[in-house]
Amino acid sequence: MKKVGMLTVGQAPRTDVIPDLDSIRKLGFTFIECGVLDKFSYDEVLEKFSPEAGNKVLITRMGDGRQVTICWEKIYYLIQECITYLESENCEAIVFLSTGDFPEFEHTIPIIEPGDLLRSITSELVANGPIGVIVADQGQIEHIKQKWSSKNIKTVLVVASPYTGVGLEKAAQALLKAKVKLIFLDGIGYTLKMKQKVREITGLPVLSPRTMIARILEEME
Amino acid sequence: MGKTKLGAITIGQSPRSDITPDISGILEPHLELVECGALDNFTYEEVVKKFAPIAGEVSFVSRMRDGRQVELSRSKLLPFIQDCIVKLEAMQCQTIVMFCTGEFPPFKHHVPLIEPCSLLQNIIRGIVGQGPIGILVPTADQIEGIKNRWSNFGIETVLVAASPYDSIEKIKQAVTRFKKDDIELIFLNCIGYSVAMKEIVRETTGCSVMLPRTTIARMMLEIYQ
Repeated sequence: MKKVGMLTVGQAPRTDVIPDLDSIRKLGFTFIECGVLDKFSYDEVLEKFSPEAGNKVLITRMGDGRQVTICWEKIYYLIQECITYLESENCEAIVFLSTGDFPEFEHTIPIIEPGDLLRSITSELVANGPIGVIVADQGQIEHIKQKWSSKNIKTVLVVASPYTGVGLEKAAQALLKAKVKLIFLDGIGYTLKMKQKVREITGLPVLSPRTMIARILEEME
Repeated sequence: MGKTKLGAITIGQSPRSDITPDISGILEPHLELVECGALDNFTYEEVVKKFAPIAGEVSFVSRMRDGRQVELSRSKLLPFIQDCIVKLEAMQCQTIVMFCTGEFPPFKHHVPLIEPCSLLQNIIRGIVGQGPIGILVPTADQIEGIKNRWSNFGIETVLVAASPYDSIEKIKQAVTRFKKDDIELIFLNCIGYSVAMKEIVRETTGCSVMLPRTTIARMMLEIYQ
């Protein structure tokens, strides 16, 4: 497998993510990026895609590095457009640079969804938990908690945005105190360094989407 | 961070010197493997006599220490697998993984017990949705049961059979049935299939191939690295 599409729910290129996947590029992979928000300015994004009450909240990143808060329901059609584009570019698989829980899209090639994959592993490992989940924003807590409780897994959620870097150590310490069995970094923004830091502080297994993507691509190479 | 002790149970005999070379590069230096085999205390003749498959029941294929293939009844193996779990827990393993892609009833365990069957099904569903996928299994009489398992899981499959403990030529021949345009992925459904076999399948078919032993090793690394 050589050509892989990288789909972000923010703007491409994800210069903050792709360097953490360099080990894969060294195996000979070529990445083609597509961002769901590529056509829009920061102000247009706030205008068109801001969440309303009851929407599922998503935190992502603009090309200039600014964090934006949008909602899932308003961007599904744009995700489909990116998939169609990446297929037309002859990608052999698509990776979603997101831990979201996606609906089914039309696709003819494999789609690697790190969120779903990590959630499956977690269920295999911990029975009922409790697990710690680090999320980017307070507004995500409710729907993420619900997703886990529908699998009968108890969760302790803490907030520390990967785009601002604030609060990660405190979050890790809080989870250590809460005696969780493993920690899940629920966002593509969390870097390899952040994963290592949380692992050092807690000594617990830390599941992270970036490393998960790398491992699946290595296997499918 | 010290090395994590990972217990590994084979339904055949340990050590699985046919498996460890393919995964040691992935596991080192973070994970230390401690092996136990359900058939460790039996001779080949005793295994053929005591563990013979029962018609109509789930049967497995595995390997003796000397490389010989054996066919086994799942129900007869269960107490010996349970014994391995107890032994590996007493040896302070932090997690135990089954070196087998078969489906098992629940065992008693205090540390996490990872069963590749459901883990790999979930990983594959995460990647291909409803499929279809190609699956290679060791023996023709396993095809029906395995096909049903995947269709109950919502994934369409095309199955062919060739044992990992037999000649690689037979594997090459069996997989010519898989056409690149018709299937999204090929899954080699037995811990006995090696990296070398995976590469032959990939060259022969042009498809992406998922191999249990390396996928499980990579998942262990995700958890413990």
